[in-house]
Amino acid sequence: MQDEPPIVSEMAPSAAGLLQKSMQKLGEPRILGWLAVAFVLITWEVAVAGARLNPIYLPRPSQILIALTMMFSTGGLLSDLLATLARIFGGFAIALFAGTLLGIWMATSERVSAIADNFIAALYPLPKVTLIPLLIIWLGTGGPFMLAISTLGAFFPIVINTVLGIRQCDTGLILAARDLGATNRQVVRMVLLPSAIPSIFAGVRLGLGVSIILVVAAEMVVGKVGLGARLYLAGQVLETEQVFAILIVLAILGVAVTKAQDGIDVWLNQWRLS
Amino acid sequence: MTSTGVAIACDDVSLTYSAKSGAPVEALRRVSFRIDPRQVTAVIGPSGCGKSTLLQIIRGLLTPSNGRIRFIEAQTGAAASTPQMATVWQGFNLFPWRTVADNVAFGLEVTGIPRQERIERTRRCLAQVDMAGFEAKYPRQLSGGMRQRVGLARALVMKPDVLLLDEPFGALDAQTRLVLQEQLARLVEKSGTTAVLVTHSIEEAILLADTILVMTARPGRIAAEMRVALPRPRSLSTTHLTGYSSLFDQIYRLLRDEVVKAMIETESA
Repeated sequence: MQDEPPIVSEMAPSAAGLLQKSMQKLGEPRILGWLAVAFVLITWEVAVAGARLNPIYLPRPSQILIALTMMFSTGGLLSDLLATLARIFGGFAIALFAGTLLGIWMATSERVSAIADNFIAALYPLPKVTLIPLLIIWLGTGGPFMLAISTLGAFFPIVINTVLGIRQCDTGLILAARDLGATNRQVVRMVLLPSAIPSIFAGVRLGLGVSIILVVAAEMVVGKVGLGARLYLAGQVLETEQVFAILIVLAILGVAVTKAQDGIDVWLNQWRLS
Repeated sequence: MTSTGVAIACDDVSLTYSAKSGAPVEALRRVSFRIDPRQVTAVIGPSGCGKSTLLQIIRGLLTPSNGRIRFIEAQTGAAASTPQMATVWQGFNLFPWRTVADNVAFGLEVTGIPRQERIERTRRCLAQVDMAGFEAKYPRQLSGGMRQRVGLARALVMKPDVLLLDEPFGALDAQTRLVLQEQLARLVEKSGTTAVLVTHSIEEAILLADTILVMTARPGRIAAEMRVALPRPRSLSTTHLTGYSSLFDQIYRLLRDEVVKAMIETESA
């Protein structure tokens, strides 16, 4: 293999070199990943077309793409997407605010912690989907219900991680802040909270994931608008392309949320780098 | 001069704290001394003798179980209000998410000093400790010696009447330590602040202090109080003076028995 005649590479440096270079580029992990996606999609397209499968079972990627654009242009999918996003992030915002606040309170007061601990221990491991029937009885199936289920999903991971983050704060930093004249309030705001941010953000990641799951699930059960509702409806009337199209939207939503979180994480942790 | 001429009196201070498991620990037992203004007082003793605890009691971060700290107007003997104090810590205790400049400005920020003055004072103090140009760096990007310079600047920027030094060079290598000791000696001599230095280095105590308090093993008590009459400014060459070596030997003899006691107790604990 290593005995390739040197003359060849000398005589045709441009063509052979170019081919080698482009092959190398194809082997790069990033490009390889996208190539694999393209390969699966093309194989899927060709195989379904060749086998003449009923599109009710498995539509071709091109059909799904057409369904997706149709749904956005004339089918009002955008308003469903916005409704779902509003529910997820509305509830998440409430959970972030209330969860961080309770977390700080619990971490700085043994009494508050003792009072809240048992309730959290009981509610945290409970799968939150099981609360959907009860919440419907209390709140109906409208906006308040959707906000409540989304808040519930994100609340517990955020509280627990806030408490953990604050309790792990280096006591030397607290002493230094007090020595420099910081009041208790300032110690919380300027020392405990910033030092807990990596941990709080880990809770945010978990919490937002749970919120997305819960909102879509709740929409599937009782929603009239929203991605979950559209997904369920499309499935019932065997519009399989539409089912796939909505799954793609949900997947892209997931990727976008993850990437945004990565970006925020890097920004928040500038001081940890280098 | 910022010094107000306030002396610190430590009257019969004891501290016993309850350990999470087992019997309560008696950290300090009836400690009494007086620190004169504009003097450097070194507190030296074996590990775990409560010398850092004593510093936190003086600063008001810990409350003694018995006894008290009094601040006295040195000339008149009247009670004085609590002077401005600032601490330099063994573990630096810099805020890792704040830049060098923001670390130094922390105390000014929490006490409500206007932004323009904050920037000006921070810049000046960083220059004093030879850290100009590092304002935008994070502590993680600095060496141990540089971090402690920032720690020192963070304390000095408060214009303290009393500078509390809690084993400030304990976490540094021997060479860095020498350089910083000399730098600190100059800074303290120039500023005329009162300083309390906790250390377990006899050399450091003699180089920096006017008075040395030698403490016993736990429970910490004052075993001896010594004046250091060596001329200033002091530097490494001070260690060649005969007065230096006799003082060193004297302190060493006092400490040795206590260190052995402390070691035995640690082993049996």
